Amino acid sequence: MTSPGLLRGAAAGARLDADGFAAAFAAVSPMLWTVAAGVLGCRSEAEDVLQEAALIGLQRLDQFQPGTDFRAWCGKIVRYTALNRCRQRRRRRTERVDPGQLDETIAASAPVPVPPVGQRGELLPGTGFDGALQAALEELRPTARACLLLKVVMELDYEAIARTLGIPAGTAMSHVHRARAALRRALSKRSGGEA
Amino acid sequence: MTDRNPGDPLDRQIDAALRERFRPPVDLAARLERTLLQPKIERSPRRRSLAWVLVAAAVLVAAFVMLLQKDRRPVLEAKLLQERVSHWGNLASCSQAGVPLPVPLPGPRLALDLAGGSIEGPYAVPEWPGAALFRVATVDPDVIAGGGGKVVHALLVVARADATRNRIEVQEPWTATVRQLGELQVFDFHPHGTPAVVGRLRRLPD
Repeated sequence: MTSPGLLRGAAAGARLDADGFAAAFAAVSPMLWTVAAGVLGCRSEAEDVLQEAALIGLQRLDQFQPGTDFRAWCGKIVRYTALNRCRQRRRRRTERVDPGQLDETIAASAPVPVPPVGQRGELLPGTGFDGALQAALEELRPTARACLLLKVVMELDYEAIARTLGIPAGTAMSHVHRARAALRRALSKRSGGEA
Repeated sequence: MTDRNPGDPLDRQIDAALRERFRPPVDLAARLERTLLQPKIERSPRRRSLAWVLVAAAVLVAAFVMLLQKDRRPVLEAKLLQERVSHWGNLASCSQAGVPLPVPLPGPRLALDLAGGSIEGPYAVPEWPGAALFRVATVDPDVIAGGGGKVVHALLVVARADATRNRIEVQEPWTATVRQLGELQVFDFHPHGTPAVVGRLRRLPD
């Protein structure tokens, strides 16, 4: 059975076994990955979270109601798993490295950028547009960030965002609006500062 | 409510940067589908923690069984001594019953602070090498027995290991503490009953 077929089967009321779950989960993984990356605010741990969430989903497969939205069910698991990871990360206070970006940089044979480091050796936020964007993203709340990414990257409508994250559609709309306004404000300030 | 102005270059720049930065990996679905299945489930944290719980439970059960055996052994051995001890309670009956008299062990006597009485000992126990008996000599029955007319002289403190040390304090009926003595148990020997552990002697804090 193809993955879209599995998704339709799950929606129509068919019970999923482990193989079916894996295929269906993989089929919606780009959207779930975006949820994880949005909540975490970075790419590097998103796939780990996705795998952890998939294991949780497999263990609780009997709780999935056939005929309901499989993507929404998985989306909620991913969101809570990512939020837990955020809490653990706050306790660990580690710095992130984005392996994807490093790979791309190396592949392009460009010199590896050295991140700006403070006097005490701490990583400083980047000074370019990307650095300012990352800093502004980190200021957003995890759910707001996830809403924004689902809207911009996955181009979901507000109803779909709401279903995926298990929040009201109005809340999703409000999150996107405020998140975008915050980014715009932060990046305008940077432009103003540079000028 | 619209969240962006399509004509705004900053909005366009933000969108482009977000799409670039948070583009899902192209081979994500294939990777997940390959790695999600059974091997992962078998290594799931829940199963691992279940295994640890089972191991811990087995260790606890083993420790409990060992403790039970440890508790039982002196009681069973004490039964063998019951007859001798009950005769020692009444020294006059020793000769009548052909029971050897208690033999004091060499070394310092025990200095005892017993309300209303004293403890004599240690005495050797031929059947029980390494052990020593302490006989409660003259004690107010009410202090030791808590009332009830018990045969006081049959109360013995049995020191299992090294019984040459300082003092025993009986703090309340049938419980006692001991300073610088190792493993000690207090047995209550009824002349016609089964000896029972009635208390444990613990080290006093220095």
